[in-house]
Amino acid sequence: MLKTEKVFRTLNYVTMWMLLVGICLLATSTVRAQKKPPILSDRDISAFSKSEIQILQRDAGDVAHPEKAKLARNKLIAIGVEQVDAAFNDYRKKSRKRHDLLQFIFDFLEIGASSAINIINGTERAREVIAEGLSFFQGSRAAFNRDFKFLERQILFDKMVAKRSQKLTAIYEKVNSEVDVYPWEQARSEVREYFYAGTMDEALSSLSVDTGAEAKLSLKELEDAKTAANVRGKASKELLTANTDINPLFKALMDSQDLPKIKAVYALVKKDPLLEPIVKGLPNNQRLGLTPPGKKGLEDSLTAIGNGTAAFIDYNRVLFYLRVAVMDLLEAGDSKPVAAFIKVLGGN
Amino acid sequence: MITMIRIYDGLMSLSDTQERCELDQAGGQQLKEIKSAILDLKTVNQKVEVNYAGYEEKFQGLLTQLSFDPVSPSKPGWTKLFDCSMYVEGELKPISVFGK
Repeated sequence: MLKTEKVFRTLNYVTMWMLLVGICLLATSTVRAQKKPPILSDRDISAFSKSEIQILQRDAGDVAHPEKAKLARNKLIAIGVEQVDAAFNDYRKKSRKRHDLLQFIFDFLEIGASSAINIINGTERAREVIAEGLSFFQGSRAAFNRDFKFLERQILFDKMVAKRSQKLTAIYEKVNSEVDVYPWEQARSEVREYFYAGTMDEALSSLSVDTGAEAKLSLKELEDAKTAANVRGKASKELLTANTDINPLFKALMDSQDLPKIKAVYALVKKDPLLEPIVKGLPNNQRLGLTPPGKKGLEDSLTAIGNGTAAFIDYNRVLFYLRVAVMDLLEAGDSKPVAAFIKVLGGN
Repeated sequence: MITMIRIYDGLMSLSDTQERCELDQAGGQQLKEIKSAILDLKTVNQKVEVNYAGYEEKFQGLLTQLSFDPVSPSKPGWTKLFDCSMYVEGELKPISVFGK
């Protein structure tokens, strides 16, 4: 019984001590909100007078007097913007206050509890109770910050400010337009968008869209860099289909070991306006990935074909690399050389 | 003698890399080796895992079908081409390559 009393007494001391420190801190707070200038008072201005707004709306629709209508529309826009700004600033102020107060309470309780462990004269049990309470509290604080996205709020507010600025610029760019081009109804819709740009939902959605777009862009940049570095990915359907079309024709020609036949095919290649320049550029085609021995073998074969001393294998070699080159072009999005190659292999 | 080297994305699956090699050797080259590497793509300031595949000319008796499997000394009905360490879906794995 005596032990329990001691624990409670200790806890009472700790609570009192923490309250005292809290009162002192609150009383000495130096952060004060600025006073609003009288001209910016929310009372007695047209923005809150329904009848004034009805008159302005009527004038804004008076197309017979365009100048008057334009002025009324611009006044309505200004009132709308002012109201939206007031709502946004109020929301931001309340949100910040709530956040700051909660964080202060969290800090205060945490520091108080950890200090209490060291300064109390109570039993070991009393220290344990406070230590357990402190652990529970720290865990709760971390969960609270995480689950209620408290630490991300500033990012969202920054997003809101940026979005609001974009919307407002778009509105102000049109205030010199005539009412038949930019009527009040359209302006009202844009003022509404300006309001939504300052809401938490819109900021979250916009943040998500921006992040997604950035990620997509960087993925595209990475893919482009891989392509430029000749890094090949999964074979596309088009590539596999073309390979299936080429295979039997190419195999039949090579299995024949018929020199006049392969010469005839090569002659068709040389006549084809698409294939001829590809053959010419084969030894220096970086996409092929030729090693020095590969390049030399190809150059020797082309020379042998050129001076009429080529054997079947020389034509085979050149046609093989031509096959690889046209497949590479197909992978890069150009299907014409592959079609021409298939046509030539078919003897047409 | 290696006559052609192709670079493959190390993020590809084993079957996709195998299919890609079959496609690139079709008609006159035999897959001879695969070497894993990290490629520095300076334009985007990123390093990516890749596999360098080396081919050598073979116009007769080409083993057109390939089989990439976890390391094993043999596979019935297949000829072992080589063992290698290559990137599969971004992870380095020991692989045996067979052909027929």
